[in-house]
Amino acid sequence: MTIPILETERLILRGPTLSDFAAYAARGSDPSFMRHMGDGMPRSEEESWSSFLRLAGLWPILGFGSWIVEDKASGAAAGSAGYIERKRDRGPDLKDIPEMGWGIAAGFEGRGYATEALGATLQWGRERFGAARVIAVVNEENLPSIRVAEKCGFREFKRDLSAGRPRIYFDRML
Amino acid sequence: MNAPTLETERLLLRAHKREDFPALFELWSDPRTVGLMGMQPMSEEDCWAKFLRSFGSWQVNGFGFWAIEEKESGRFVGEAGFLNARRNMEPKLPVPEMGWALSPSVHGRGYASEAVATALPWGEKHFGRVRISAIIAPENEPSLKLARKFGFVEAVRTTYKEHPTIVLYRD
Repeated sequence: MTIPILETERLILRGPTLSDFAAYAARGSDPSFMRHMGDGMPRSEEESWSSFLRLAGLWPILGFGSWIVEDKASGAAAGSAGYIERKRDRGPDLKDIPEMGWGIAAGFEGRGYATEALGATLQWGRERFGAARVIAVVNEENLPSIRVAEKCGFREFKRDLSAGRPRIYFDRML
Repeated sequence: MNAPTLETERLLLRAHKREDFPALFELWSDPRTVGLMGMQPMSEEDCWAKFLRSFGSWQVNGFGFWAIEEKESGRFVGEAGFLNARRNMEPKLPVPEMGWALSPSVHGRGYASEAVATALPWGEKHFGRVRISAIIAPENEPSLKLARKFGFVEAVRTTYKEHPTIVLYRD
């Protein structure tokens, strides 16, 4: 399928291409970015590549996925945002609930880009999924992302531990 | 782009489909398959990640793996194709790397050979006359035999993810 292009005031959300990988790998190897993600460890190039291919591969199978967030002014890939499906064990109550994720690279933080991108993907999701429940899982110490979730209307409903790190589960209706 | 469909006497090499996932998971969680590759059986989460990468590779690279379907039964029986895994190993593998895996239920029928014989000409056309790499565990005699049959030659022995592996090249 063709990955839809979304546009906001300052951003273009589009499908990933090979030329985005350098920026994606740089973000994945940045300890200050990765300390908030998963197990908190920076990714090797191989791990970032694996993650990048997953991001690109979701669309053709499921008809939804994540976008590369491009900064209109510079044309740079500033991050990614959208829907993910990892089949990770989140408990039976959350099976088949679409999950959202986002991440803005160093150099583009503090501008509200995640909120702007997430707003566009939420609107797209309403058209795709209807008034469905979506969740987002954020590490407890990731204060910038917690603020983004709250600004975008997500509310905490659960906490747990993953790899020994506390995580907050948020949800909202599309 | 999606994988183009290639046809052999007994097999279809085609793009993966969502319905292949249960059979793919069975293949990669089978100790008989992954044991030969020096790997542990994959969890559903890891196998799903692998499944997504096979679509992502065609999308981003324009090459990748095919699902192998047995024509007679319509069953998914394995996969084969080209990849760039950017593996964290020495030596760095030349791109493309080639790989194949067949379900133990169809081993011994020459399916892998039939699939590779069809995928290789596609690769020669797509990549031109470049070096193709493959990594195979030393104990995986059937795959080593297959690789040699198609002109792969052992280049170096090394380790990948703490397992001994043989790097082969085909020029």
